[in-house]
Amino acid sequence: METVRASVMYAGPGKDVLTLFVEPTPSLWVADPIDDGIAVFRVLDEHGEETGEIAGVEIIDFLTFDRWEDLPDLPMKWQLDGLEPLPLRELLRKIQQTVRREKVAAG
Amino acid sequence: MPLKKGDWVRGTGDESYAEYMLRARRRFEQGQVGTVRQVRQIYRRAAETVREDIRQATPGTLRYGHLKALAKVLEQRARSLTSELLEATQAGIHLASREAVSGPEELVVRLVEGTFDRAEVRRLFAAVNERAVLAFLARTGPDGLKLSDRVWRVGERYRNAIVRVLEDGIARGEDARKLAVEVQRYLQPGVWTVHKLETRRRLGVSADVSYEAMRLVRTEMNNAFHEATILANRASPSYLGIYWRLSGEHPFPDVCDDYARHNGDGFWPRGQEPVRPHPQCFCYILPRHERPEEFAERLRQWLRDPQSQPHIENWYNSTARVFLKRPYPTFLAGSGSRLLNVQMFAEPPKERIERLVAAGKIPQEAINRAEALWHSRLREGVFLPNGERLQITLLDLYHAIVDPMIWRRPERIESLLLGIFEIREGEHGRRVALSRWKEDEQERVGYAILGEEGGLRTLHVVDEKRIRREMRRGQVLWRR
Repeated sequence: METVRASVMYAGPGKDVLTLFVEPTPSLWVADPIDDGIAVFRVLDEHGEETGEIAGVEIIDFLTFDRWEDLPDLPMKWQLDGLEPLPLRELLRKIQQTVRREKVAAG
Repeated sequence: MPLKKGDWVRGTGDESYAEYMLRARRRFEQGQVGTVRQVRQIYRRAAETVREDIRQATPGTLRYGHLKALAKVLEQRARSLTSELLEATQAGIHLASREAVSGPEELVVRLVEGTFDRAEVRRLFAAVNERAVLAFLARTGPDGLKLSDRVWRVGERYRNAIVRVLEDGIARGEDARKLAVEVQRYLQPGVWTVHKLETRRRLGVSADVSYEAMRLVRTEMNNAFHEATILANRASPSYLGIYWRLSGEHPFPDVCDDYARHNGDGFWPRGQEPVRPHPQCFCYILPRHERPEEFAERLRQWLRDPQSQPHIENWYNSTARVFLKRPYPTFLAGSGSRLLNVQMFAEPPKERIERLVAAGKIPQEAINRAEALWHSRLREGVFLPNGERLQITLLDLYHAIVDPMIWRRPERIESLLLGIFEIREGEHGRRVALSRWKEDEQERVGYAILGEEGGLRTLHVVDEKRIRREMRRGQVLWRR
């Protein structure tokens, strides 16, 4: 399974939208909503055609997200700096645990 | 030569660690003394047994015929001696390796406390110890022999020495009982006066048959301690190299003096540590490590960004990762801040934008345009077609312009919101707003996710296929 370097964009519990990006992120991509809470970002070529590659994933209401089975089965592992490569669901679960813990600590 | 604590402190940079290493070294030396004592006892017991064997051969004068029968028994005794000697030596090697590994193990446990699990670190060093012992027992020395071969040779010499002494006694017509006592005294460790020098030369036997065995054990244990020290220190991320120090038992200059002068102070960098250059070498090595506070800072940097500390990252990947779980980044908590900045693994939208601008992925001009647009058209909110006023914060703006479809034309934010033709129910109070608008004579479509109490969660420009798919989901809450 391919491993990609990844980064996370998250503005905090207020907005609570978590976006996982492939790094380096391709310059052109389009959001493909799975539903109102999940979107996959699909890479486009210079003609605007999908290449089949993934640029990222967006989750809304990340703190309370629990529909792990609705996440797409992407054939890749994501590696954040400082973490081992993980499949999407596992990585997002771990990030969620951390974000939830920090939210509790913040009060 | 007594080791000085000051030497260890200079090498390790840490007094308590130096103390620990010194104690480990002393335990090894005590273990070495104990093992040599054990070898003496093996030879003492063997001597008593051989005496009985000879005494029982005949009540009278020993003849060559008796020697033939004795030869088989002596062969057995030599094999027993070899087996006991090998066992004692191997036990000594295990002890030497254990003590050699224990110092670096304790150092690393303390250095990485809070980052790696203590039990996992100990497992790492248990594996280092096992590897050191196995490698040592299996390796072939400069003499082309393995340890077991060397011990077997000692046993052979022991048997041959007994046979020669017996043959000499038989030739002199000695009584079996007297000869038995003579052989026992000869075999007793530390007894040197049984035969004169010319007799020993004539017979081709050594003065003290056990001396070779004790020397073997001391040498093997020293070598094992030396090699395990290097292996274990190499498994430590703060390890820099070793200092070579001469032992007190060093009457004549030899290659060890060169080792002790290497680099001016006897320092050998990690990976270049020399092996013991000759048998019976009692020189010792002092490991040198990075100062604990310096290593701690580098470890912190590695936790934030592994690529910033390639040496630690390389150590983790090549040595540690099988045993130590890669730690998750730790958070920095802003004091008094209720919104923690999860900067260890996540960046807020503005930071991402700034990073992409710095990398040349997004022109600064595009960001300036978007900000200017927000100030002029979005800051006070946007009235949606359903009559709702949607607040658009600066954070919402930065979040939106991460989408390349948006930063290229930031006016699409307003166009999308004003072009909403349908709002459908989503999960957990979210609402999906579908939009269509004209842009340069072309029709564009997009969607926005609105929060239950207002507020923009996200928005994206998509294509017709995806909009049609969205139009099949959820209950319609509003339609233009």
